[in-house]
Amino acid sequence: MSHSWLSRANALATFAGTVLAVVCLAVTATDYFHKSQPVLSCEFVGTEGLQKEFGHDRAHVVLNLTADLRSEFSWNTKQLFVFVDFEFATRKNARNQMVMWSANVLDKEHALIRVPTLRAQYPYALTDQGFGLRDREFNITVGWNVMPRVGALFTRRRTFAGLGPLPDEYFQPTAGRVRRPGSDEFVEVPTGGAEEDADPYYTDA
Amino acid sequence: MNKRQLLLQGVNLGMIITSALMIWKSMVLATGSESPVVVVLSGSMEPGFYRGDILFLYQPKTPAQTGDIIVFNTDGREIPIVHRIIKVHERAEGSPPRLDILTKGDNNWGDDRSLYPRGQLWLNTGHIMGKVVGFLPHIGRVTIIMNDYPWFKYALIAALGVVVVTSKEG
Repeated sequence: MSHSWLSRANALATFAGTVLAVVCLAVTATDYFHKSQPVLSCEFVGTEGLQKEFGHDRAHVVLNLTADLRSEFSWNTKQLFVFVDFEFATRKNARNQMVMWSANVLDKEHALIRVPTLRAQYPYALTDQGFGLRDREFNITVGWNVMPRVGALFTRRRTFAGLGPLPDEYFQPTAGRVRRPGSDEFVEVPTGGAEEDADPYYTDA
Repeated sequence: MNKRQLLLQGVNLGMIITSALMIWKSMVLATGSESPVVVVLSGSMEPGFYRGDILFLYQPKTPAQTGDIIVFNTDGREIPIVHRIIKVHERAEGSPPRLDILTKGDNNWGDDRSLYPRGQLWLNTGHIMGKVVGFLPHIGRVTIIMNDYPWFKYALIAALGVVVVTSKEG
């Protein structure tokens, strides 16, 4: 008959599996109702260098980023992968889009991001597939990939358009010295923001 | 057990197997991905994905963006890789326009050029098996154990076969 321990174990396992599946679906459904109010600002501090390399151009750009993503954390959020995109169009390529900086935010306390001198981190690089970076207009898009404990992943983005253009002539990169946008003037900026000696990007605010 | 019961058990087993196959194929069609559910096999995306986590894939109609997590396979690799897109160059011409894509694992130091075949600098849309849209932790650990210890896999299949054949359906 069907009262053996085997059929009991079978019924228990089936029931547990079904309950688990329903709970997982309910958990991911709650993400739909979570309202977030991210607050972001991004400035183009200047260009530290614009190089012509073998076969392509390379730009060294410094940004000032503030991003308050604390409201993105719900009970189902495991981490945010925050990234900063540099985007531009050339005649050959309708879209050139590259990550220049990223951070893994593991909890709400670390989700207030301030990087006053944000630079490209290794291995990210601002390069064109050609020599199209001089005098180039660009956008900066800040994105955050919300990675849940269970369920659907999604990415939200905020674009800051028309921050450029890049300078119209090549010049050698010098750490700590940027050419201000739209001028020939050079100013000193702190060299923090490179990855090895980076202060933590978050503040205890 | 007589011949009829044995046959019935055999048909039952066949029904279970074909239902599973039908569900799998429907998911392949619905998502547009040839492998809509994958298990994470390496730690290169930690702490977001650990070995044994399950990922659900989907082939989106919009072209690839940086920040997307994709599963891709390059020529000559049997095991696909789950990494994040960090650079995209989209041609101005062509329909659909060609994309040059570069990827990197969140937990890796460098980008994935060392994983692409020699001389290949970019991926393109044809290499992408799907974009990660869903996540379920830990459930795939059984697959990892079966991969690392094949005897466990055979023992599990044998045990399941015995249970199905000897259970007395009403």
